[in-house]
Amino acid sequence: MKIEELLNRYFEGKTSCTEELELRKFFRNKNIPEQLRVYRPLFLYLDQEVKISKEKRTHSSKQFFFQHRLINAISGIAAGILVIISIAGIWQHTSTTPSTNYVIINGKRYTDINLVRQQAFAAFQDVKTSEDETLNLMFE
Amino acid sequence: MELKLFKINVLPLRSKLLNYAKKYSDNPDDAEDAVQEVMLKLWERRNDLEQYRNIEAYAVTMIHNLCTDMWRSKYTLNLPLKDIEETDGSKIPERFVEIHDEMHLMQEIINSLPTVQRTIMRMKDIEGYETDEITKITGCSSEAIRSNLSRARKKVRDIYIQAIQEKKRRK
Repeated sequence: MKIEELLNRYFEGKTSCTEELELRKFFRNKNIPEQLRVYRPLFLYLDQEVKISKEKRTHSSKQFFFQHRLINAISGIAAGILVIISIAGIWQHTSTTPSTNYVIINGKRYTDINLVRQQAFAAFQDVKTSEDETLNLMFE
Repeated sequence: MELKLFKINVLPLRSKLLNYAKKYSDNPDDAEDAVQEVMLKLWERRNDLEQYRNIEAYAVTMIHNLCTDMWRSKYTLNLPLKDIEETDGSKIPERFVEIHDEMHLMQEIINSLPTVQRTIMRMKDIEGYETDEITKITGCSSEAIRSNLSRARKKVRDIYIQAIQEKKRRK
């Protein structure tokens, strides 16, 4: 199709995006017929704006992709920390429970639960005060 | 806001805006024009729309303001809207003659177009949307799109030719 014909269709609003690209490409050339030179600034301007628009779109999609990845990474790290804390909690609970009850007699450590209870009961008996003793202490 | 989100959040508001505009205007064509303009303004501002909690309230405010402006300009000048547009474009502004850089001049000419024409021209010529896609986005008929596009392009061409002729005349 001749450029003049394409231009007419352009100004009637009848061209497709492909035809408009063809027009922009044509007007990128410096050697164009005299009668068509008047249209060159318009198509050069549009060409420049198309490039800027594409760059903006690429930038915003890159930014969106980056944000998406950042959110994913942060979520992953947070989930990882949570898992580590949970595992550490469970490990501490299971590993420390048996060794928490012990008694040391003559420098030797005993973990037998019955012996521990017996010794603890004896210790409580030592520090126990009767009601009379408590009253005496209060009103002495 | 991407095209997909725009279609979901903004396009369904069209009928509501049209009903609102019809209450304000005695001419259904003016109501349709107002809705087209608001839809195109919303498209132009699509990247900022996510910051509004209620897009519907924002759109209704836009149509309210636009209808009020249209009503004022119509009745204070007592001219039909079409005539107002025609008289506006009859003489080129002085600032166009004073711009030396052609790219800058083109930008200024396109920016001076009425919102509907400017936005449709940008969508078609810069953002690369086909007429069918613009029809879906704005809800305007394809003939209305073609007509506005044609008027916009011809206006840009004519103003540019007038500006360079005026520059040559002054030299």
